[in-house]
Amino acid sequence: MNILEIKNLVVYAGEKIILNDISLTLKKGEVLAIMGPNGSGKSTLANVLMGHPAYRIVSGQIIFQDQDITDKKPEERAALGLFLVFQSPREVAGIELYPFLFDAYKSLQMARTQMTDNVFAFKKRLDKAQRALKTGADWNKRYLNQGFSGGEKKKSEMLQLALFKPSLAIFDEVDSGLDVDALKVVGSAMSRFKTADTSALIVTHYQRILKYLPPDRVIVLNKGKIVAQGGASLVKKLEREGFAATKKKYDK
Amino acid sequence: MVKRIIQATEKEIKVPAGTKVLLWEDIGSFETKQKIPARRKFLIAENCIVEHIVIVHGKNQKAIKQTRHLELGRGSRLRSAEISLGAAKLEWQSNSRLADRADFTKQVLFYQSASDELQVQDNYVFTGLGARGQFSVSGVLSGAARARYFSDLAIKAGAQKTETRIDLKLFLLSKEAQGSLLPGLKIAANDVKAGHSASTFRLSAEELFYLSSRGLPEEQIKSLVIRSLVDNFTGHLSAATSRREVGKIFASYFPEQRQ
Amino acid sequence: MIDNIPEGHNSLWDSHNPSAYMKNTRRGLDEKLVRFISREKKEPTWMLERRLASLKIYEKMTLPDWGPDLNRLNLDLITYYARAADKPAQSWDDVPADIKETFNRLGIPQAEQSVLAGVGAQYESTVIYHSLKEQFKKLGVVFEDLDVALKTHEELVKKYFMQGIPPSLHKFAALHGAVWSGGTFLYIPRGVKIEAPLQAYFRMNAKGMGQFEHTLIIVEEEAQAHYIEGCSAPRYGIDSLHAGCVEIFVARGARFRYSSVESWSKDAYNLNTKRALVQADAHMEWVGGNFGSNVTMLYPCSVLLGEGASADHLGVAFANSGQIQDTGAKVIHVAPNTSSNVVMKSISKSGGRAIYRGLIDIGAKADNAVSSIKCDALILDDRSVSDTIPRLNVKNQSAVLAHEATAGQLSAEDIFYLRSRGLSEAQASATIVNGFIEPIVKELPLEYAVEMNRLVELEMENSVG
Repeated sequence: MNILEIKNLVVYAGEKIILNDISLTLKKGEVLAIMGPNGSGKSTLANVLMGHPAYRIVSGQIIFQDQDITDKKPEERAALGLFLVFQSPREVAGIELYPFLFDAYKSLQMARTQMTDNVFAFKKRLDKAQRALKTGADWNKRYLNQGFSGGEKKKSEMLQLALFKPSLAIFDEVDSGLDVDALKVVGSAMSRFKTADTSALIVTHYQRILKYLPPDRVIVLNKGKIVAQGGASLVKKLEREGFAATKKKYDK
Repeated sequence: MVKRIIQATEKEIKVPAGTKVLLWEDIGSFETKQKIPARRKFLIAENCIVEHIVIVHGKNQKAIKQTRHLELGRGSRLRSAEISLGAAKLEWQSNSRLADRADFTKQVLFYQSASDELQVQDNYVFTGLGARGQFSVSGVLSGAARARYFSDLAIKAGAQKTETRIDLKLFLLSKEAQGSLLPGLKIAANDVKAGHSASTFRLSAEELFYLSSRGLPEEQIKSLVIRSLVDNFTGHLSAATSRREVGKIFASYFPEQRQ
Repeated sequence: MIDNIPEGHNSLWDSHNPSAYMKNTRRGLDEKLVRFISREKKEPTWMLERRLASLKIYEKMTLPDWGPDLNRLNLDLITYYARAADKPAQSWDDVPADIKETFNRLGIPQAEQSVLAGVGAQYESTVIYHSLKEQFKKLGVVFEDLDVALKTHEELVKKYFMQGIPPSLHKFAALHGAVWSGGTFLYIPRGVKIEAPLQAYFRMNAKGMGQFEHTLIIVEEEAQAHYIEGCSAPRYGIDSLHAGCVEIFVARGARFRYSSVESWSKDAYNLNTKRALVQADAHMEWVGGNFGSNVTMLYPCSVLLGEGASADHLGVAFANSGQIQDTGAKVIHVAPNTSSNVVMKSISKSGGRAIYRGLIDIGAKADNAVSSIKCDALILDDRSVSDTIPRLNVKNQSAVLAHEATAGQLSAEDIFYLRSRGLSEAQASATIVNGFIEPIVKELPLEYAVEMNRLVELEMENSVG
């Protein structure tokens, strides 16, 4: 089945058109890479899928798990099983990480009308996930992302990904600002997330992260339009020739 | 930039749309020998780029009193630098209004000593969209000087996307000097960024000891402080000629500080 | 930016019908009434004399010419004193449903609810109170109604009463001096350290709604205590003017914290005066939360009289629709080597006005004073207002003083982030606002912290009533 269908999506930011007639489908269990140069609209696409209020959908539809989510609120999309790994995870002052994680988890489980782990079971899962991500011992007492380094912020996102169990995860430039070690930890978390039942959209500029979660397909965006689509071989071609190759094709 | 020297008699200065100009204003200088106008108005139309240097020569005047108005037009950019050295009695009120996308940066430096008195009320009103204001004031008081520096920055309802910052710093260099700072902020719009700070500085006993152990007497240490503030001030002036002018005036107040 | 955060509670605090109540009581203020009050209470002559002197000052003084408009407060129409017996016998059934609902949402126990609603004459936790009373007696601590202490500890009260807040301070202090009634007397003897917070509702007959309550706190040398006044549940009351006084004397080496979380009905004028005199090496802390009311003017003041004295002021003010929270902090540095720290957070929503008015005064003799002030304001929508008016007076060159303030709104990106994790818009906003005020909330005992967070959530979504 198709977990995600985007039909002729046109998106504006203010008076400026950012996404110009985007259509794509994602099958359940698939990994799709979305690539393209800066300003191509790929991060916007990721944010629009999650329901970012700054962008206006002028026409088109977003169907997630056979439900039209085009007009749905971000929290409703989260409840349905969508998760966005932010490019710049927000720092929220005064909110301790652990209570936040538990509250958000409860909120989601309730919305999904599923059972909630009790505090102990949740803590166990949290500890396990934190060990796998090699987070600091003091993490739970720290405020949500406050004073976290770039790498720590991405790990915090991966931690939430592991706890909230979405069916489709969108990774928005998750590899930006990461050193080799952090990249390894984040990359392993991504591949742990991926099972037969989960799907992923990877928005990225670079190839590095695709090592950890090899895409089944890739699309290339340029100036808000899809200019190329292909399988694994396209990825290799882009690796060799960069985006210029696709640009030429588009300009023709 | 074209330099326009404000004449002592001018009460209303208009800058037409699209102009690029350096306004040079001497207030109370010995050369002019003219009365200082009680009011002065500056009307800067749209899309101008203006640098405004105001030098208040307090040495030669018993009292300097002026109320000033400024209208900064749409999209215009104003960089203002005001310096006042040793005015015996300075009463200064300025009222500024900023239109859409106006951009106003102002730095002020004042030095008072002996029994000088300074009273300043700087009022800023933001009514347009997306205007910016950055105001930084440094004051140095010595002797038995008194200063009251009050500013009132109002962001009116609807003045969204305004960004402002006021920073007031006061240095008291003597036992008897006294200062009052009041950086008022009144905000009626919500999509704004506004901040202000007010602080006092002192040279700690260790710092004073360190400097005097290098052979500097206290008076000279004080003028070092002022000198570094003036250098910081002139560093923001665009033209080298402006910097030299201000440097000269500073030297006339602190002869022991040679270039 | 933020869609549809619901309105401030407009219908919630409708005034109780005053007709039956006003029958036997007298409006307005004159010498006859002051004498009547003193006679009723069987006060010593010196107290009557002080009341009359205050009345004279009150009549001469004018209303403050700064701050929110108090002209709608008609001082002639206010009832300044009513005997307990004259107050209507309310029953729990008379209390409006939405008030009860608020109490439930805030998790207030039933017994307390009765007291807050002005229905219960006695607080049911008599047992707790009595055992505390025994402990206090052993330590020499006095925790009593001020009316009672005026008789049992007359000399102490006489020595300190309104020495910290002289009637000449302002018109409402003079008013208070003339008609004060009821309140708390707390005396901590030398060297005694009480760990658990002392709470106002432990007192018998505590109604906590008195208009002109006087709290007199004396903390002797090296003593230590924490007192909590008020509570976060709404004050359902008939009185529209509250001009109480809290004066605290902190002796050498002592440490004292005064916390209050207050929520007032929408027609209330909350004009209380709070002041602490701090001696050498002593430390004073003010922790406060102000919600509700029509107009609140509250500037807790610490006077640092002794060398090495210090004060912390932490406060939250939430101004919702139709409310003016004009609050702040005043610290007067008199002696050398004193320090102060002020952290104020304000939130304005749905047309509310939050104003920070502060004063830091560094006197000529206050060598090496250090003062740090941080004020942050959140303006939640385009109808609301935030003013920051800090005044810094420096008469000493060795002072180090830093004041920093910021103002802005909730970040749309932060809200989106939290919503993407499953929180609704209202929940996300409330989470961020609670995070914003966290530095103050964490200083409160747990049950107050929880109540304060819930109050914020209520104000943010305001689905009560």
